[in-house]
Amino acid sequence: MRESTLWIIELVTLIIMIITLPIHLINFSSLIIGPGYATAMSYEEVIARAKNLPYVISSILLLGAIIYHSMYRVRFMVSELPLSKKFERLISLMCLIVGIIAFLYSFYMTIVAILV
Amino acid sequence: MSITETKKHAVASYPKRYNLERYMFFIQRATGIFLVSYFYIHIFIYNQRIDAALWASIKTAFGNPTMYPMSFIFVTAIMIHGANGLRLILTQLGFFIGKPKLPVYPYPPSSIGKAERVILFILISVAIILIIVALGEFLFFIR
Repeated sequence: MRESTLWIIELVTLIIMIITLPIHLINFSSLIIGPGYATAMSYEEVIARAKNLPYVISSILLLGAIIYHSMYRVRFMVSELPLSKKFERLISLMCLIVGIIAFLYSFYMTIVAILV
Repeated sequence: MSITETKKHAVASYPKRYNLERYMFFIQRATGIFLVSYFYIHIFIYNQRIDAALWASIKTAFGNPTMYPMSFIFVTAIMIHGANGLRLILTQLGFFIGKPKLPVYPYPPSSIGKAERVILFILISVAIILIIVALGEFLFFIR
């Protein structure tokens, strides 16, 4: 994929993070509407959140965005080092594999948590 | 040149006074590396929620006082990384960096201007307020 396309996808993931990260964090804070960290960590509250569809959708979007952003930036940092092209390609492939595995694992566990 | 002279030269040529943006670049990288490392631990821990007994054991682990500073540092790193990252996106897209001008000695970088500094201070101030709120939440949870 072209570098410019990857950068545009990253901009989209940043916008997703700006929207979904406050939604994620607000559930652990009593600042505005959240129940507070102590309540939010209880099992009942965790499972209630796992079955709340809007929250689940925002979590999956956030998860995908963070994984893409982190792996894209790790690859970017590695590309700044004086390494061979072959090694750079290997790092890119590793980032892709780690990202896909992390996303699929979390996605599967999210679906399992809905069905609990 | 002897080794001692080389060392002296290296120390003398090492820039002692970085500008604020250079420090923010270092902080962005450091928090980024920490967040990547901790994020995968975070999702692994949080995905144990499917079993009540497993979650109880996770909560017992969280009862360990060493876990609170880690969680708080995680939130702090998110706030700082996010605030500075937002400034970087705006700068990258061409906002608050002024118009292009002819390079004149000593070549001050056009991307570092008053507007960009103001945005940085506003975003970092918001991040610090949110960090204080998060600290309050964690202290309440410990109590």
